[in-house]
Amino acid sequence: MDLSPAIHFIRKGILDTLQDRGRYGYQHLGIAPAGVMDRVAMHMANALTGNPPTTAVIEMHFPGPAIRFTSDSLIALSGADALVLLNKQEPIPINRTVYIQAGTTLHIEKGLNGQRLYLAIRGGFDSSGWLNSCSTAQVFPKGGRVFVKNDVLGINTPTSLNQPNGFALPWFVPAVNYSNKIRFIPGQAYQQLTADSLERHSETFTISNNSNRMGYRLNGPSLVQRETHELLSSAVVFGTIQLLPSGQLIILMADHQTTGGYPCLGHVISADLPALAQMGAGTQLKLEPVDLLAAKRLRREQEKDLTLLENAINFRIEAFLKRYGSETTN
Amino acid sequence: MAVAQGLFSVEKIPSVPGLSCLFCSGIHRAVLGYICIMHSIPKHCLFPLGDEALLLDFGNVLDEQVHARLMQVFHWLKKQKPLGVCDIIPAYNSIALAFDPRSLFNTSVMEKGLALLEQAWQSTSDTTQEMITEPIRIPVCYDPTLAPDLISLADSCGLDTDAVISLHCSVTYQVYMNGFLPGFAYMGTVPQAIAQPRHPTPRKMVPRGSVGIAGVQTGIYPLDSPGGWQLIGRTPVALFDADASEPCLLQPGQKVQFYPINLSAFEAWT
Repeated sequence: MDLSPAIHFIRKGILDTLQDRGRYGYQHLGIAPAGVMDRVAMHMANALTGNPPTTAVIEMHFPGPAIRFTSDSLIALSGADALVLLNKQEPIPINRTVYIQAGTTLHIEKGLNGQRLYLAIRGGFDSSGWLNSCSTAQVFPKGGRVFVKNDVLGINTPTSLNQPNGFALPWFVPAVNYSNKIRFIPGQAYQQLTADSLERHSETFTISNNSNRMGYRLNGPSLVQRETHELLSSAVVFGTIQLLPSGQLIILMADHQTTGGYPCLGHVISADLPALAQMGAGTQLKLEPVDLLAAKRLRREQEKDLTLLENAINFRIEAFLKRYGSETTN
Repeated sequence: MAVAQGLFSVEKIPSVPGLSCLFCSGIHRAVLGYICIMHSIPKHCLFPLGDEALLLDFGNVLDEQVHARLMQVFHWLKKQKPLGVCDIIPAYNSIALAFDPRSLFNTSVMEKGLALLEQAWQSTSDTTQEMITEPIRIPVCYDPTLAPDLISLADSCGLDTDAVISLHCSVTYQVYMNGFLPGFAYMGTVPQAIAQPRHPTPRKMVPRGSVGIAGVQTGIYPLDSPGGWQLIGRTPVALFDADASEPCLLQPGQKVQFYPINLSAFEAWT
């Protein structure tokens, strides 16, 4: 049995992949960036383990996996709220820094609120990646990982603490409460909407079952442009809202292709992408156009909060480890 | 014939997929030609893609010269490697800049994007000579066993398959953009006589190396993939090699020519 510092997937989840911020620099070649759906959760999980904010994490969906740790580790889970059991016994908390002893298995038992749960480990995972990223693109997963039963992923920094198994280090991070309001910067097709569609686009939409990391298809009022034209393809982004010929909307998500030829109603603001990422089939949302100034202000507020969090926790982790722990780097 | 309704408006054209770029009135030619000699970026051609990316979009009529001008901007930016720009994505008639949000801390995507594009535009305005590139020659086997749509496409065009092959090979194609898959190059312009629209329902599996037509575009599938293009041949050459230092054979701005090879040459290809 291989006991080098690693996690083992004892049970496969429905979709568990290795992701970081994304594989950027190659979109002109058609290489899609992929990356986490929920960037705030990635930052939080990394902050709680004292990692740089874009260190690769494991993105999990529900039903989730069961993961065994072969060495002492300092971990954090963030994103969705979920029931996570330590050795099938007590639950461990989300949004806390948690100490896991060697030989422990964590069962991601049940999602309680939200769609994606992120696991970060102090020191990060052992993965060389491809083109400077460990993200996993659905269409070509090289450089990333799609985890199945018995998969092993090395970890870089086993961390031992003089504390009981499952100990949650004494600091709290508030859970993020997202509303169902999704704000967007209007695109070229927005200016072309009929008067009726302009009114209707602020009604409630529901995320359909036909939704995944590539995009969310929305059920809702049919929107129409005053004039439609065959468009030349151009670049699209995570959050681009496309208006299909049927009048229905599709929001491109993390695994979007690099270009598209459908009219763009607009693009979801970066600050609201994490909220969107935690929505799933059946969730209702409302679209609200905002300007760039508002989008920038919201993004900066979010970034500021995350940076404050990072700094505060880093300081505390260092102090705690100095007092109670030891680390070995692989 | 429809008249352009303003400097950069979209001409009303019959919506046959992929054929729009052919209907370019004299007025539009003048307008598009003007873009190339313009001294600075017209601000109404700039569109934010959310708050972390920006698109410079010259509208809906395809023009080789405008694309060449955009490629100059693209190459200049790629060479400069401006801080905070994480991707530069050229397409048929547009170019997008994607930013690392940390680089937008004290500025906005429009401000920073416009400044960079303006700089790139002006720095390349004296480059009158188009970058001469040797066309990449790609062998294609047009045998019907490898080309499930060749015969039906020929029928739809009222041609025999030899004529289709000959026409497909008769043009030097421009790679306008990559998209859809790693290394999938959108090339134009396919001769009108064989420009058939894509299938209304895509195939679940198109084998890697398949050469297809969709309207006036031609392309090659670098990986096994679902796909709706009309499959008229297959190349034994690898379009995409993840382990190579240059993983994609075809990139925007390149020129491509096809030449036919027979089935035994295809099978023997190393």
